[in-house]
Amino acid sequence: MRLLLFYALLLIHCSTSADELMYWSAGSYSNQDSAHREAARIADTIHAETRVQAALTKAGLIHRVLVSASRPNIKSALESIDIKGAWRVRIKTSAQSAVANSQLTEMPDDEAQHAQPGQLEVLGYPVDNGVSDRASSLTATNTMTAKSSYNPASLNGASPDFFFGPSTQNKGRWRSDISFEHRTFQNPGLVNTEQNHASVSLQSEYYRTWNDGNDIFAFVPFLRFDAQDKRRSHADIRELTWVHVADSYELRSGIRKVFWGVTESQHLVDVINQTDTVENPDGEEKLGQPMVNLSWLRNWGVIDIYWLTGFRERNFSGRQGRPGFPFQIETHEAVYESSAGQYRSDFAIRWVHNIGNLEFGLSHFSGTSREPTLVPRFTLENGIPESVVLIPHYDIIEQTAIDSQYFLGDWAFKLEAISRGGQGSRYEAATVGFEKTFVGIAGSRGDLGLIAEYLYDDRGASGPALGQNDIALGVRYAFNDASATTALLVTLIDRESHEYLTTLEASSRLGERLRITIEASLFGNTRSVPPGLLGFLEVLSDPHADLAFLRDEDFIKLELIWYL
Amino acid sequence: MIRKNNVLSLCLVCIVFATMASAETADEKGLAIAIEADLRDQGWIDSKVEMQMILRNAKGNESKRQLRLRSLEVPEDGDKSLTIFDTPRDIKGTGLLTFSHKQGDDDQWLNLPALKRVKRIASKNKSGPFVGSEFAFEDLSSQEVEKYTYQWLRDENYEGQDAYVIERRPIDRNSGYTRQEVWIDKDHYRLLKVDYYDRKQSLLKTLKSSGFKLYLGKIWRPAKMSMYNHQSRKSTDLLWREYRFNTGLTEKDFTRNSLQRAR
Repeated sequence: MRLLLFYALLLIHCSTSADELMYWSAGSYSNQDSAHREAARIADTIHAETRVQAALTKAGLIHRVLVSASRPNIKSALESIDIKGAWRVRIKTSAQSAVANSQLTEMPDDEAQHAQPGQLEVLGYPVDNGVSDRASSLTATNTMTAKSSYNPASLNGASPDFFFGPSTQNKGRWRSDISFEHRTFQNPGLVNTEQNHASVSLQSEYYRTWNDGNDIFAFVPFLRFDAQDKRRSHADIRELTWVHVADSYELRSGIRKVFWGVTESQHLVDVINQTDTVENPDGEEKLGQPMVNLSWLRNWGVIDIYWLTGFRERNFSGRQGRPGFPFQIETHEAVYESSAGQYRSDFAIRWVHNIGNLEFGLSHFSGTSREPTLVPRFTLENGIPESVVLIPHYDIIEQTAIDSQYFLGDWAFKLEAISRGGQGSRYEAATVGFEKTFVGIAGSRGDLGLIAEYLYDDRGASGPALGQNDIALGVRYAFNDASATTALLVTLIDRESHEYLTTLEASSRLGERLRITIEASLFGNTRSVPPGLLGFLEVLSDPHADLAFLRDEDFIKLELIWYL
Repeated sequence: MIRKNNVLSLCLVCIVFATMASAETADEKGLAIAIEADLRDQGWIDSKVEMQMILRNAKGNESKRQLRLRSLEVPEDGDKSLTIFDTPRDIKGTGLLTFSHKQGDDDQWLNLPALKRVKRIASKNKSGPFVGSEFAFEDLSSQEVEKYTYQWLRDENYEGQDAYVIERRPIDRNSGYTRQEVWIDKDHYRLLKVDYYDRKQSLLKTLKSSGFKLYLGKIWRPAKMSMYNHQSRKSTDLLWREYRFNTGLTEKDFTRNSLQRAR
């Protein structure tokens, strides 16, 4: 009999000692009625057990709306009715079963008060910015009390909105920046003699996610106004895209930018987007490309399949633009190999993977070449050529490519190689090189990088102006300072003509919202050729005069970007 | 004679006890403390947290960075983390993906959204400053037991708490430090303070962590970490907020693809 009683007591004890109840706190009110109304509303809408618990805080008496965590997914249910900042609360009820509504609980003061009936233990409570100083004085207590993670200031708010975290992930937001740019050319050009060029550009970004971040929408319009060059004043949609993320794939649709490649001096492998030539002669700026891209994630890497719906023509600077080119490029007379012209659908596939320190991408592109062949058309007078214009020809190409990087300590070895058919006979081209980084060189904070690359194209002299047998040597320096100052100096030397092109890029942050960039280009050892047709014929016949038309185009550019 | 023997045996007993007490060498004790600290920091599964970084130069001028971090506990290896910058605005959306490893170099990729480019970082730069702050990459990467050798130095009271002071020496020769002195509190094995000694053996930096809070009922995290550089007199504060654990992150949230789409 006694034994039975013992067991009965034990059972009771067990059941009560397990009475450590978990709740989600959905908000706090100074007014008790408001708290009860909110509790009732939540109970009705998400069918969960709710209660109101009063607590005495340093900020005074508050009434907290608690939602029982006995059922899973309460937090997401709360989020579905726009209560986002819910935090977990543990209530120890000891021998007392569920505390009646509105029972007053005293928040512990500085002293640790463990196992007090009805004590609130706050888990994972958000800490605000100002907490640091106060928190540091708490380290000595060493014990977990409600106080040590309790921020009365945050509880003053009379609406649950107060608990909305700063996470704005599912709200759309705009961000914009304006860039002011000034370029000064050392000499008057062959055609355009204006030496100072001013320009302003605006880029905005709208970004929104939903479905727990698994759907993303982005819109990036771009606008430039150039004081001199009408062709350079242009607008573009850099991005207008919807991305859907699933477990094993991502589907990306719309206008997008894609970059492939690893080398510094040129980007042979990167063929998806058209180059925005008027934006920057270095070819780093791209126009948005309409596409559907399925990215398939496997254990053995990522397979990207691209359906490129439509083609963007390359733009060229106008007569007033610089760097100038002394011949008219008749873009409106562009010739397409495909009968569908700009409306041809192109396709590409790429496999990217990394094995330890080796990273590689294998790709194939089938479609209209982004890079036109410029075909001269002479105007004859009495059977003698008198003037010349250039017609862009866009051929259909098949390009198979590899880009790869191997890391060995401070060394990064780089390779890009392509085999392209469709523009004349099939040819191969490659860039190989390395970058060696000296971390914290000579006891400084900065990192120095040395870059060396070799550029090869088996078409030789009939190939592009740069890149058939060239060497690129560069120095990169990252100051690793608070302004993130960096500088990059690269010289590209044509081994046959001994012409060279030196470029400098440096940038630094000024305060929180400004960035300054300096760019300079210097053409060296170029032949002097007469302007007009005569010069053109001379350049055509002389394989050692690839850069002759650019000899007067040395410039320095200053850009100030203001982030709104 | 008998008395003399007694004294002798007493002495012997004393010696035996003394050697038994020191059976755990200072190295073993240091390692044991490091292992215990590591064990107590396990089981957080994954975390999401926001961080504000305040950089101060010797004149007291401040610059700030706002970033978000997601981390995944990898029991058999180092942790994975994804860091996304919100400010300054010129690097908004820049992401850093890190796979830390118990042995060998960490793998790191940087996403530059403006260029649509993911760059792999040659990982020997662990001693370099993280975004211009006084924290080096290696100070912020996951602190695996295997990355150091240890020695217990002494017990000491640190700001009212009983603490072990241990020395740890980085195994990696590319570390910017020869040794570190670490204050670990005896109650919870939390890293309260670290003194960093540079390659020339002089005191370079001091890290102090404060405002510890308990999460998941077992994991302690500081609300503030202050790094002071004794040589340049610059400092960096990290203020941590909105810690969330066990949020359901998986390996799929720590890939190059997820790095590219994070903004």
